[in-house]
Amino acid sequence: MKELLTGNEAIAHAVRLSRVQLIAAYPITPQTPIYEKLSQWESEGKLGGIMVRVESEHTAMATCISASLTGVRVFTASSSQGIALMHEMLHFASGGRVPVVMACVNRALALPWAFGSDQIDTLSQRDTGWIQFYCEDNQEALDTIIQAFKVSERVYLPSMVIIDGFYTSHFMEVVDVPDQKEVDDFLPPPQMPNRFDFDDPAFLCNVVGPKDYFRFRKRTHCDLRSSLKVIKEVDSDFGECFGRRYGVVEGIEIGDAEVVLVTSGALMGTARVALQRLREKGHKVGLLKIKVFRPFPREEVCKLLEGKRKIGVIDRNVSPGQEGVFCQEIKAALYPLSTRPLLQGYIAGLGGLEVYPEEIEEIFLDLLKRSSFEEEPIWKVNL
Amino acid sequence: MLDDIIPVSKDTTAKLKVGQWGFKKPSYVEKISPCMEGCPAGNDIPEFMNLVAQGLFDEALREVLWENPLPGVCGRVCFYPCQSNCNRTNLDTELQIREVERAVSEYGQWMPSKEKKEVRGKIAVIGSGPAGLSAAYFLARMGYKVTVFERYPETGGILRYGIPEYRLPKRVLRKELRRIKALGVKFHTSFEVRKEEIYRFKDMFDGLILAIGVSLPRRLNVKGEDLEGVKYGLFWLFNPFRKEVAPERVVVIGGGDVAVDVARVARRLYPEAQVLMVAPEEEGEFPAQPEGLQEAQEEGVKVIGGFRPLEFLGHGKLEAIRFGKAKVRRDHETGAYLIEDLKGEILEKAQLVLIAIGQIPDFTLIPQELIEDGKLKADPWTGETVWERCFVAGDPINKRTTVVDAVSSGKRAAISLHCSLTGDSPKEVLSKIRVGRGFAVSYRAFVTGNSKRLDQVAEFSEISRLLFAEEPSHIPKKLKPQVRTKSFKEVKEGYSQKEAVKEAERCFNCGKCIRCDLCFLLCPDLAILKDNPYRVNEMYCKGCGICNAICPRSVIELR
Amino acid sequence: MESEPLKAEEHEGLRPGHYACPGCGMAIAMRLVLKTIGKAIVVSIPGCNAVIGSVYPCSAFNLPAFHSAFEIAAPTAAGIAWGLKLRGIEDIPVLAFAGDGGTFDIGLQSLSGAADRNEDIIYVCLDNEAYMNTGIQSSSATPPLAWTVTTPEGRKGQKKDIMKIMMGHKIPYLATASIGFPEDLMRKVKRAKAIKGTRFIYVLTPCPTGWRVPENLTVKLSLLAVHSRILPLYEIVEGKGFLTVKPKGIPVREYLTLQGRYAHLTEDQIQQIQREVDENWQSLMKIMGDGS
Repeated sequence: MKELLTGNEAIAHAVRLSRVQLIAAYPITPQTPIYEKLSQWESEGKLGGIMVRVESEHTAMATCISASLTGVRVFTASSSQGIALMHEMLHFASGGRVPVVMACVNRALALPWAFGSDQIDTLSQRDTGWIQFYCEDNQEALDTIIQAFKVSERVYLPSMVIIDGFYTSHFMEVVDVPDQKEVDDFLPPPQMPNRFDFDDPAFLCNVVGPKDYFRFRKRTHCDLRSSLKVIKEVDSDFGECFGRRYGVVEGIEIGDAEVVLVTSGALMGTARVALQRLREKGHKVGLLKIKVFRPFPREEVCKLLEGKRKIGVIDRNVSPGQEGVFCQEIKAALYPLSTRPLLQGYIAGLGGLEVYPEEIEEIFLDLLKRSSFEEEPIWKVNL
Repeated sequence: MLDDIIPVSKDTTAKLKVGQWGFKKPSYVEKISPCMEGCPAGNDIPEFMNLVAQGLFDEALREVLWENPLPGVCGRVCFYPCQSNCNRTNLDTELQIREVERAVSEYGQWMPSKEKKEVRGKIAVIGSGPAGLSAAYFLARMGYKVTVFERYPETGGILRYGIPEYRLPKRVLRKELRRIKALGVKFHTSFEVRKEEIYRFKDMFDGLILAIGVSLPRRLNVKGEDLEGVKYGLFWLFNPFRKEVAPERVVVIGGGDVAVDVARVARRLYPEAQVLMVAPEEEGEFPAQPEGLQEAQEEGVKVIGGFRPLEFLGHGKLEAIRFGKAKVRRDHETGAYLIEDLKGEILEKAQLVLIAIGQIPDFTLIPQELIEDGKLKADPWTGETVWERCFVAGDPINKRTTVVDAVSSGKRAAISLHCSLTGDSPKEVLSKIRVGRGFAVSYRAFVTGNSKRLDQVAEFSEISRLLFAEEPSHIPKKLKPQVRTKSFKEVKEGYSQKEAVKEAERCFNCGKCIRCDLCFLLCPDLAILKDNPYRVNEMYCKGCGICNAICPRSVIELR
Repeated sequence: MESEPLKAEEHEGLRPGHYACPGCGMAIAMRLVLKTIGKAIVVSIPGCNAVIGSVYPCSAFNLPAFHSAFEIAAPTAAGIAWGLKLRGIEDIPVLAFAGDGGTFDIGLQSLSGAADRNEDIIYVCLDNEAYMNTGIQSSSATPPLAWTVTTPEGRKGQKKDIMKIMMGHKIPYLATASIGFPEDLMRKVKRAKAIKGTRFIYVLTPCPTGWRVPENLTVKLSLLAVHSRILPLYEIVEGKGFLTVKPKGIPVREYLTLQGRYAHLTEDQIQQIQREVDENWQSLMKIMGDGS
């Protein structure tokens, strides 16, 4: 049923429809409406699961992890400082191979203090072994949450479903909210075992020696890489059930493009407008959306970008001392190509700074006329 | 699958030999308690205390009967050398061991049986006092057919004739005798075995025990002894109900237990009379048990110390006694009195004087071969005499002339006699079953072998101060003095069953493992297993020594 | 000398062969708790208690257990408790073991949060009064004037009163316990098992290594701690307090002078400690009832 919902509300609906059994969360702007909506439904008896109103995000993740070990479906949501605070626990979740799903509402990390959208909070966690989905809009957020449970519970790895703070989280859009029955058919109740077995008791996750650590880490890495296949399958199934599919990347008019801009999240929406305008003007420009950031879709990116002469990457984040993170990852993905395109990184929209279609058009045009590419990213500030 | 992706540890640590970390290992070594060491009968006090603490009076009685056939008697009249050794005095007050023993004999029901059913031989025991009864009892248990010959009309010797009813009711003695009779011991009373007959007995019986006691009073040999009213207390006690014309004043000469009893009987028989007790020792140093002396004084007996009788005065009948001041020292080694006369005299009016200054054996009953230097010649420990199968037990050879020493002596004579019949050396055998460092031996160890170290005494374990709450003994009530003197009713009330249990619970059970589980529960490495009583699994024992430090009974040793 | 399987009636939740130091008080405490708790799920966190739990692929727990992070013993246990409830599994208590670090310091926040939510867990704090596993560094549970590697002149400041803190959370059951009184400890665990909500049991677990005492003195020290009133033994049930063991009132000197970590104390300092112990005792007695 189509409803006018904010991104946070869409996520809340998805959590409800996914029949999550335990939600442990802590409020932080701009995630709070998710927490509030779920609490409201809990008090109205509309939420199947229970809410545990913990005293910190670190505890929220800890509670989710240990509950998940008993085989129940769990969810949490956070942003910015909260995600940073639970960093230790993020490693725990992936190393513990628990299928926790977390909604992350991107927000700038202090210091300095700022509240607008910035991807650094989730990207700082790229080494924690979580699957990361970057969603462009409210519909995608809702759909991806549902898909994430299915993926995680199959591969036993946790997932982040990431949206931009305010731009996606608080803006209303028309969202098609599926029926409970449709979702139940797609996502059955969890089939995970209770890992606390009295017949054959075990001490889970106690200290290992270097050899075993090496072995488990390799396993986690390999499983995270091969989860890409599962993600695609689930996305494909979802498409069949609900008529919407997203892929792990999305190429827009790449075929004859001379330059391709790569970006993610809400910026994609703006970039699509810019693309359309430039195409109308006759420029051969293309767009690549990175939806799945971890595991990084190296093959898909290479396939789409091979042969392109100029690539630009717009990062709504920066890894200080280096460059934008997506830019880094694209460079690494393209490295094996025999002919590498020229790649320019752009930093835009940090801390929720508004990025207008005109600015993206400027970036396209800049790329088109560029002959030399700088190692340092170009910092795009609103005029 | 899940076992591959996260560490799932299912192997048990029990395969890891952490016992290799330490070289000290504990072992359970049961020992005797200090109270056991003090008991001439070698009574396993911690053992029977443990049973009483569980309310198991029958089993406790059975336990006591291993070493002492007269618990009812000793539970009333023993001078309790065990109690002064009690480790519990380091925390609060000593265990009332004697009172608990009394309770065991009151409330426990147990008939001892023979260890050996077949008859091993015929033994004659001369004398049915505590030594004779003890010897008879143990010999009967060992499988012998025992006949006891008692010269007086009834059995018991000093127990019946010497200790009055208010201290040892006759029913108690009857109960002890019933038990001994149940072992098949035959008693012939009013049967005096003169020394000539002993030669015959030597041939008629496979073995002989002489337990003739010290049945004659020591003579004072003072001028005027032949006056009417001058009597020897011991004989007078034997028949206390012989009514005399009530005297106004009665003087008892002597400061021992017999003298005290004589005074207290006189107090009861002659309620109007003044009763005095005069002894050469200073008042605080009378050889009598302090308890009895105090009770006597409570009952109105006046006590005068530091005087000895010089002369009895009177015309045909006693009228007064002349006492001279004296200082006395008792030679502990020989038992002899060394009296020094001092200046000063007192005159005490009296119509009846009862002399009780000690006892000696009746040598008319003893063959000449067995006497040397005016004494009955026998080994004080084994009771061996110059005659092969003839042994002596009791006061004649005991340094301390107490009931419990007599019991001990009888036991040793019995075992020694048995050894002489089986060709073993009494001294060797007794040495193996010696309890502590004194004369006591254990019959139980003789029969079943030792499970505890009889030569090691459990010291007080400091940890007991912390493990146990302070709770002094409950002391049983006594009848009020004015009530006491009106009859021969037993003066001291014993414990009720509940009180006995409560007192027994205070016992630390030194040297004995009572399975309190402290070592078991407090081993950090689960290296102590429940067995009989416990066993150490050296595969896990790191040798920390907590078990040794925590055992309040000093049972655990580290090596 | 082979390893013996324990008889059924002697249930043990802890297995032998673990790596605790000889004479470890914590091992005794863990053993007694696990012996009493029966079927339960155990949460273990970094510290001596996890070392005792042992390393992969071995486990010293005869029960399912999970090794969580240092500061989250309480919510980890809570998460498991919720999970079991959601799966319809009843009557399996979830037990969290934490040391003084994981309770008084780094874990205090999450413990407070769990207690505030009255999570259905049994939290057992095993206090050896310093960060022993990492080499005897001081914590807020280290008593005043005690030596540690990071307070070589003796710790300044007071020992945090964790019981008062937990009392402030108004949870249904709190208790202090000592390995010197094993029956009392086990009874308290049994009692806690029958109650729902957050149950907090504090056990003082002497550490021979860190307290600088010979390894056989562990239990004696526990007894002295109780009898000198340094560790009063009590329960607080629904807000009402009861002493469970009457201390003898031994001078604290007897307790202190046995320990190497107090070897540097002057006479004045010993008396100062005695005064503080007396004050704490008076303050505690005001909230204890008469019942038992």
